[in-house]
Amino acid sequence: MSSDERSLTELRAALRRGETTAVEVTEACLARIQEHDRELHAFATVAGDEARAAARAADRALSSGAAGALAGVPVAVKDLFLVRGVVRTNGSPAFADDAPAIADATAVARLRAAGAVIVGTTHLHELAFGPTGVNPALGTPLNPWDADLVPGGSSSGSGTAVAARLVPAALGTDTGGSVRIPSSFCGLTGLKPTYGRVSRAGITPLAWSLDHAGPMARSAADLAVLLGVIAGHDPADPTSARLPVPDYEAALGTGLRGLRLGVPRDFCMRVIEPPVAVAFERALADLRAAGATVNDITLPTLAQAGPALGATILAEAAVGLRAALGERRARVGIEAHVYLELGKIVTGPQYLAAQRLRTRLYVEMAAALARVDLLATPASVVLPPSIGALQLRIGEGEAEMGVIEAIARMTGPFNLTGLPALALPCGFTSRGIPIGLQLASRPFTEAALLAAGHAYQQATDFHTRRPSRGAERG
Amino acid sequence: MPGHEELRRRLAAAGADLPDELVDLVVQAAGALATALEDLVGLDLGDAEPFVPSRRLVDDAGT
Repeated sequence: MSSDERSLTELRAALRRGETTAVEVTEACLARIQEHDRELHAFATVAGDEARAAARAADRALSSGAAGALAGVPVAVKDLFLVRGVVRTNGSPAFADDAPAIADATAVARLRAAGAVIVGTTHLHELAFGPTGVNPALGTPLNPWDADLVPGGSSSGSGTAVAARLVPAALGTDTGGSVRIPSSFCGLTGLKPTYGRVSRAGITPLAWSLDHAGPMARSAADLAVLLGVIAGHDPADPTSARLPVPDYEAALGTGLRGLRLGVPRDFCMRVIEPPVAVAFERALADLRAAGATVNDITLPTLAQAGPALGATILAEAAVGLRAALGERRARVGIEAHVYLELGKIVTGPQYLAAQRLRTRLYVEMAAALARVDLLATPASVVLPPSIGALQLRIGEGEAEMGVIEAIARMTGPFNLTGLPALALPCGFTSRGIPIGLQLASRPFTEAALLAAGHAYQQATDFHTRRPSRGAERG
Repeated sequence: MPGHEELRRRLAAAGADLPDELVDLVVQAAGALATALEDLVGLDLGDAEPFVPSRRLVDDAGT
């Protein structure tokens, strides 16, 4: 089996058994990037020399029996994280002339400490400010399933790189769905952990009360390994939680029997594209068949989640990015410029109402999660839109909705409440476009979430399918 | 559209720096947002305090 065929967990096992070496894996990974990234445009920077040095160190650790959890595994990192020796562009020409970073973001440092080989940084929606992944200034990563469709963002390059088998895993960030949306649109598994579970130190902020860092890979089992490495309190991030980190891998065997799922059906089905509705219902049927119970629930405040998310992101970004941009402000692209200017129209009472609404939404979700174990929704009510689309007509009622609002409709509520949420593939359209399922759970119960995702993936094969574009088949 | 006019007025009042040729596009695309933001203020949110995720989620961990 070639290294691009292997998932993170399969690759790690092969390295530990001595079937391959970190140097071989890394060279193959760099060769795939060299061969395919001209078309895919996933990578902002490829750190070949540093990756080779890390691979040699990983091989020494593997042969001495002192290997970390990710020894020799190539990982890519969204170009919003500090990566030592690499210029962090934040997806914007405004930062392109910055000096290379002299230190790693905490999550990146933890990956390195576990032996991961950081192969480079990936493109994104400019300043992480948008869910399509389209970036006119620095280039848009290609959706490997269909080049005419957006890859999803803002962690678009991470989505493309993993889906096209350039790397087995990547880091993203998620402010309104930016890990889960590209995961859904690219056929991957992605996790937005609980707010505070993963340090944000060294990550350029977009909206500090909504920002999360999270992993993207092929399966829930892969994510369990990654989260176990990057989770935990960090003195450099005052919002990171002082809570112990469970053994996520050990919890994977829990299964679905007896699990209670709640579906906010009225909100999920009100505006939805028919292929997504069909795949979602089939996923619920599969979950039932595996032993879960599924019941409809009502979360009335979801109806106002979109404006609350908009008010919070626009206002916090207008303040936070002003500081991060400084004199670079004049060089941002036109879309980010418009959003930054729109932040000026959010009034104090509107921002405050949005924060109070978040409490009401959280209380509703907490009450629901006292009766059920997980919430289930589609990851996105729409398929990946065409590049350049601004408005969509959705479903049989042909409801008209802006692309941003439509894409983030299901993911944004879990940024507002900070609850952990997992996106995973649950089907494909007749044209082969992936569709995602979203599962969410109580604060800091990622172990249960990943276990449910793993059990679903044991019963289905959607997460194993690969697009025709990208690295060649073994 | 009332939302469009409201957004145009608020962009001007806030001193938003948008090229003239873009104002109409922004107003068209985000006009509904201005109305939705104002609707937030009119909601009866009872005694709900502003959400503080770093406190609330840790308090509720394990529940």
